[in-house]
Amino acid sequence: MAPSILTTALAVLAAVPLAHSSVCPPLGPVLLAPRSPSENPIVKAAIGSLKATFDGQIKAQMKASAVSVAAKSLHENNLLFNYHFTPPTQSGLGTTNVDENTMYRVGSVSKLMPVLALLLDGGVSFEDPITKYIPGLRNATGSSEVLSTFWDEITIGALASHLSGLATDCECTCGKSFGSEVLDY
Amino acid sequence: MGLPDIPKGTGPTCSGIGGTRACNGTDLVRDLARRPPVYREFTTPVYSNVAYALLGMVVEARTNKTFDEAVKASIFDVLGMKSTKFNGPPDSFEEKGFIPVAEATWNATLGAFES
Repeated sequence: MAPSILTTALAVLAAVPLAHSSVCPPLGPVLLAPRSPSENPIVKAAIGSLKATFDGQIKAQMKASAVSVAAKSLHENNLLFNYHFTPPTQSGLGTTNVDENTMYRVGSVSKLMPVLALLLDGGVSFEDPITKYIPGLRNATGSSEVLSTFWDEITIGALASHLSGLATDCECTCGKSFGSEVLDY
Repeated sequence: MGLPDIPKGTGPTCSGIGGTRACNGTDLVRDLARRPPVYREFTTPVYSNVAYALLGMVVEARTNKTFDEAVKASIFDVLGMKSTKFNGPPDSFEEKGFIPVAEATWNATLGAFES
């Protein structure tokens, strides 16, 4: 029976790198995802501890900033964690009671959306150059090699991963913000 | 001494902040013609808001819709995200939005930079 034990062992070893390249999982069946984490005593204790930490830290440090944090399991309807903080100093505009229905401006979190929209499109490769979709950019370049943007080399993936080499902002995003008078020039 | 004066008539003409006109894709492409890249592509990461404005324009080119209409149709409507909006806050933001002290841009619409 020795050969068959050896075969089994080799099969297990071969499977390990596929599961994860750096972690050796325990032998045996893969555990199912927890279906009701909110009922687990360890999770319950962690939620209580997290809330206590937030109560202490956020109330001590946040004077004019609101905080909203929520966590949800894919397998449960109710939120696993739902924490909201209304700061003592308020602007007089908008809500006076921060809760799960409060809206925020999310700033650069919205960068998810163009990328997600392009993934959902199905017909856009991240290897495609930007000029495939905006050919007019070929003319938007400098007069010498040093000052030029090589638009045909900049891919959708480069733009989506901050590897395009393009600047953080251009004039458009800097104009007359935060009280400057740049627009007067 | 110091930096020379900025020549009149060479500054930005849009931003969408402070009651100014929001920038559109034409503004963006024109500005990019005057702004050299920081590095060649794939050299090193540079956090770029400009890059994502261009990705928003790609979405528009692919869908023949405005960016906010395209994202509403493909993402927000599908997921039931009724309180999420580009191109200015939802009407109910004045009631349900959090607006910090001295935050003057909460109702700004950034045009090409919404993405």
